[in-house]
Amino acid sequence: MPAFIVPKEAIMSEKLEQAIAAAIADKLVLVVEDTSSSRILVSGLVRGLGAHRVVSATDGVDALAKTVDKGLVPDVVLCDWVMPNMDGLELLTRIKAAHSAVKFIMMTVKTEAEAVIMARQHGVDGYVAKPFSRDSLMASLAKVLGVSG
Amino acid sequence: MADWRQAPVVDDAVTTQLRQDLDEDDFVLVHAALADDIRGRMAELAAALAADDTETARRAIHSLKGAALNLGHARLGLLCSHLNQCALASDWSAIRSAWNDLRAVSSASLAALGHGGLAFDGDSSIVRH
Repeated sequence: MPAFIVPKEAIMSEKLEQAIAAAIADKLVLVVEDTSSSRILVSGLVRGLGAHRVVSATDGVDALAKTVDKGLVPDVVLCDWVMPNMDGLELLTRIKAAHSAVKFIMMTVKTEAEAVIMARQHGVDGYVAKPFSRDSLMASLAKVLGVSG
Repeated sequence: MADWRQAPVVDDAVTTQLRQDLDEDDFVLVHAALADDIRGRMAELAAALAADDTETARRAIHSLKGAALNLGHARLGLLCSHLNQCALASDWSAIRSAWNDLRAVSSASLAALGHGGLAFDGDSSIVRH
């Protein structure tokens, strides 16, 4: 697995968890997943980590409609790659082109080196392999939010 | 790749971890949603295979794999991983041959979730062999 990917077995400390909670509390977090169970799971975990503003969307088109098209720019995007209508890579490209400061984390089963390289070339900030854990999600959020414990 | 036949329907360690990580409402919601995802993606896959719509079929297998593995439905996730490799290799005959296994494993996951079988259980003819 390429080193850029946060492994499921990432080990987190309580101090880091508190730092993430403080950093993410006022951030607008956009969760984009086409399966409803994954959408509920990621949204629930992010709220549990301290995020109060979480918007979820079913694909890239829905994500843009619920945020950028309404003048809402997310601070952090947690996004699946393979989705109908508009996939994660295209959403990454569109969001980064207009709002380069948005932190974009790809959450996907596509862990081969070519996929990671392609996502990085399009400006992805974090990469979480599925199946993921709360700790691997935390580790990636800590990295993109620039917090340490 | 691990053999899906040897995997448990549900990995209890994942369920235990999810109970710790999610509040009770989300824990219930996420499992109800997985049942809907399984039914929805299986119906989508059946229709796509019947119509030779390989792109939709590939995406349905991929989605089912991710959703199942996230919630510890190991047997279904691993079978979908195998089918995903077949899809990437455009081996659609292998996927059609595995249809009855996939239907049985999906039904086992639904049963573990406390839900009934697939809505189109009696009509597997929609998948052409």
